[in-house]
Amino acid sequence: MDSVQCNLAEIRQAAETAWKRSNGLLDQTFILHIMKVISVINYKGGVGKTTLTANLSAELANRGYNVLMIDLDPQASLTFSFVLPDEWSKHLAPKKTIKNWFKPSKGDKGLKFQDIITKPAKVKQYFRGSGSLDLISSHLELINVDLELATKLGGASMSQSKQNFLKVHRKLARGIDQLNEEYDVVIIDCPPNFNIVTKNAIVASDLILIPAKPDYLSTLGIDYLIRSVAQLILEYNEYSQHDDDNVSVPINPEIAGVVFTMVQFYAEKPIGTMRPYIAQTKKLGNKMTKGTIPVFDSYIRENKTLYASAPQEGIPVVLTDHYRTDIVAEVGDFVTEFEKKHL
Amino acid sequence: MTKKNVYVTLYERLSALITNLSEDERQRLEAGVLDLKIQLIDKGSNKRESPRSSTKNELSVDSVIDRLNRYNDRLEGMRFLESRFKVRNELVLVARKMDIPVSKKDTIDKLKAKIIEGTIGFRLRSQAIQNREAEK
Repeated sequence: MDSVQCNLAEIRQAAETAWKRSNGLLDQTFILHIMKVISVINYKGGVGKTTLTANLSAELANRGYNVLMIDLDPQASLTFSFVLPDEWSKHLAPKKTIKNWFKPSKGDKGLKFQDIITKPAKVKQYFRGSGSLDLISSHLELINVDLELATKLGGASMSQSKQNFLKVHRKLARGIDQLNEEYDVVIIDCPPNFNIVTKNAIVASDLILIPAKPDYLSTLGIDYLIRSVAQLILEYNEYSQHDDDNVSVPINPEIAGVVFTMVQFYAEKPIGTMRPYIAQTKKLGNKMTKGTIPVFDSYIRENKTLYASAPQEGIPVVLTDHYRTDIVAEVGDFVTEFEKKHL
Repeated sequence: MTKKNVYVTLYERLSALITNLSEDERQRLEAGVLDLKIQLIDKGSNKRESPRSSTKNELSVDSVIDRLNRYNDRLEGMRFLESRFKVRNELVLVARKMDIPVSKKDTIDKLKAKIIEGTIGFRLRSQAIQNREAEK
C-alpha cells in the first residue's frame, strides 16, 4: 500500500513538472485530472480563512468540480458552517472526524480516509452543476493531537529521528493519497498556528492560499508564514533524501497568493488606510521563490450582515440569492481568478 | 451687475463648486488632503501657471520615491528626506503619490515617518521576519 501511495504522489509531481517543461503543450485534460490540494492558512486569526475556504469550495463545486474540504482547526468553524453542532456531536464526533485519522482509537483499526468523509446535505441543493462538496470534519479535541504527535518525534538515532519526522508529518498526505484522485480539489482550512497538524497540511499541499486583512499585523503574519513554510520544506526535503523506506518524495508547495479579505471600500477603491498594506504586500519578497509574493487582484469585501449569518444558515454567501449581488459577484470573481491561475 | 448680485453670484459659484465635487474629492477635502484656494485675479491679465512646473514636481517626486526604495536603512532614508524637503506640502505630495493616507493633523515628522515606513520600513520588517538578511 505504501509503494502505491508513493507512486501516486510521484505521478502527480512528474505530471506537473512535465507540463511546465512542455510550456503547456501537453494535453490540458490530463492535468485537469490531477487532484489539487490547497491549504488556506495565515498565522493571524480572524482574517477570514474559514469564510474563504467555505466560499471557494462551494463555488468550485457549484461550477462542477468535485471538492473535498478538510477542517484542521480545533475550533471546527468550517465544520459548523455546514453541519449543526448537535448533529456533529451525534453522528460525526465519535468516529468521523480528522481526529480519528491522526489519533485512531482501538475501534479505528483499518480505518480508511474515505470512512471519515461526510456529505453536508443542505448545501448541495444550491449547486447548479454536477459538482460535489464533501467534508472531513474537525474535532474540538484536535488541539491535543499536536501534543501527542510531538511525542512521536525524536528517536534513538539521527536516522530514526528523521524517519519519525517524515512519518509524523506525512500522516495527512497518506490519507489524501488514499482518495485515489476521486476529487478534483481538496481544500484544507488550517488553524492559525504552525504546529504539527498545520505542517501536515503544508506537506500534503500543492498550493498555499493566504487570506489576509490589509492591516499591519495580518501582513506581518504573511512574512512569518513564508519563513515557516520555507523552513519546513528545507527540513522535510533534506530528511526525505535519507528515507530508508523510500516512501517520501520531496515537497514543493507553491504560494498561490495572498487574497485580501474584509476590505472596506470607498468610491469603489479600498479605503486609504488599507491601500498602503495592499501595495506593500505586492512588493514583499518571497523567500521560497526569490521573487515577490503573488497577490490576487480580487478582494473579499467586508460585509458583516452577510458573512456573520451565513455559517448558521449552512450556505456560503457565494451560493445565496442575496440582494447584495455585488458582494456575491465579487466572491465569484475571486473564484474565477483562482480557477484561471491554478486549476 | 449690482453690488449685491456680484456677491450672490460669487456664493452661487462656490456652492456649485462644492456641489459638483466628486466623492473622491470630498473625501480628500474632509481628510485635509485637499484645500480650497480663493484668490482675486485681474481678468485683464493673461498670466497662467506653467503646466511644466506640475510635471517637474511629479518627476522629482517619482525620483525621490525611487531613491528611497533603494535604501536599506531607515536613518539614511530619513537623512535624505530631511536634506531634500523642508516644507510640509512637498512631503504631502510624496505621500499622496505613494497613496499613503494623510491627515491635516500630521506633522512634518509624522509625514516623514509614514514615507520612510512605506518605502524602507516595510521591506526591512519583511526581510527580518523571513530571515532573508543572512542570505544577502
